[in-house]
Amino acid sequence: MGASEFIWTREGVDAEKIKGCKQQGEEEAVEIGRAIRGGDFANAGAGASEIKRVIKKLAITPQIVRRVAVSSFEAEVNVTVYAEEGTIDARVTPSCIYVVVKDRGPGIPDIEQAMQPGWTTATPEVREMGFGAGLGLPNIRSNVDYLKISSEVGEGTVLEFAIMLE
Amino acid sequence: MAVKIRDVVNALGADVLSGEDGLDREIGVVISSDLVSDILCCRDEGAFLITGLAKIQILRAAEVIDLIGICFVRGKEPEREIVAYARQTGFPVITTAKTMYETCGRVYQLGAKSGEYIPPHKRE
Ligand SMILES: Nc1ncnc2c1ncn2[C@@H]1O[C@H](COP(=O)(O)OP(=O)(O)OP(=O)(O)O)[C@@H](O)[C@H]1O
Ligand SMILES: [Mg+2]
Repeated sequence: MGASEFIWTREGVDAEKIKGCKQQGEEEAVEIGRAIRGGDFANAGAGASEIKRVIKKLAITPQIVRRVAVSSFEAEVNVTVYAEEGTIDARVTPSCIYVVVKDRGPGIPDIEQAMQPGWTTATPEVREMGFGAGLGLPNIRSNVDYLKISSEVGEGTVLEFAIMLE
Repeated sequence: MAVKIRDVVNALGADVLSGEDGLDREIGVVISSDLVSDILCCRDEGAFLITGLAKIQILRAAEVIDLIGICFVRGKEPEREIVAYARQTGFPVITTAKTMYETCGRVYQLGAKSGEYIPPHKRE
């Protein structure tokens, strides 16, 4: 148990570029941030909607807008469903979009297992709201260029991803 | 000839709850699911959703991937906030008493195409 980490980079994506994307550079960046409340299903996905609304106005292709929106939505919903509270923060630079979703919650004991399509610990109440296919994390991976999940059981989870714009 | 949401309304005798102005939107593909993550696997343009889950979460998922409209089946009475939200954005939501099976069958008969479903782990 304790702390664990999962890192994945899409084949052909330059790890150096991802580092540059994460760090606060001199280049102009647009930042979007929002708090997430655990159990607040009526607002689940509101942060992702906001991110989508902002980046739609930038010169970003609809395909990339969709990838960012789907990944942000899935990550945000997981905080609503499983954690007590959290935040979603997106940073948009000319070369990439970096999103960090942080929560205080139960953490993920086995991240590899959580990444398996179909694996879910969703309760019947959560399923009644349309969640619990066990496809959220796989969906995120299929839409991003870089994914990192750090989790500590009993403390919380940090999920971050990058989508390159070039 | 492209199938429009209006054609679906007529074929099903469905009630239009919101988005009257959007009924002439052309349906690119049709998808059908009650699971949000399944719906988010769709990457087709102009997708129309048939679902038995009348919840606000479905509407938010619709927004995420730019669906063009939703049909609720089995006479599911959507929560009032759904209709209010959809009316605000002019998003077409229709509802039918027909079953999922019959709804999909009738829409298929109109000639609407099916969306492509590729689960996330088959994409990489
Ligand atoms: N932020 C989190 N905190 C604690 N556990 C999490 C968190 N995110 C995911 N999990 C765990 O990982 C599992 C798989 O997550 P995933 O998003 O892939 O599927 P799901 O949420 O169960 O269903 P879906 O996303 O398809 O609605 C969850 O059921 C849960 O046990
Ligand atoms: Mg999930």
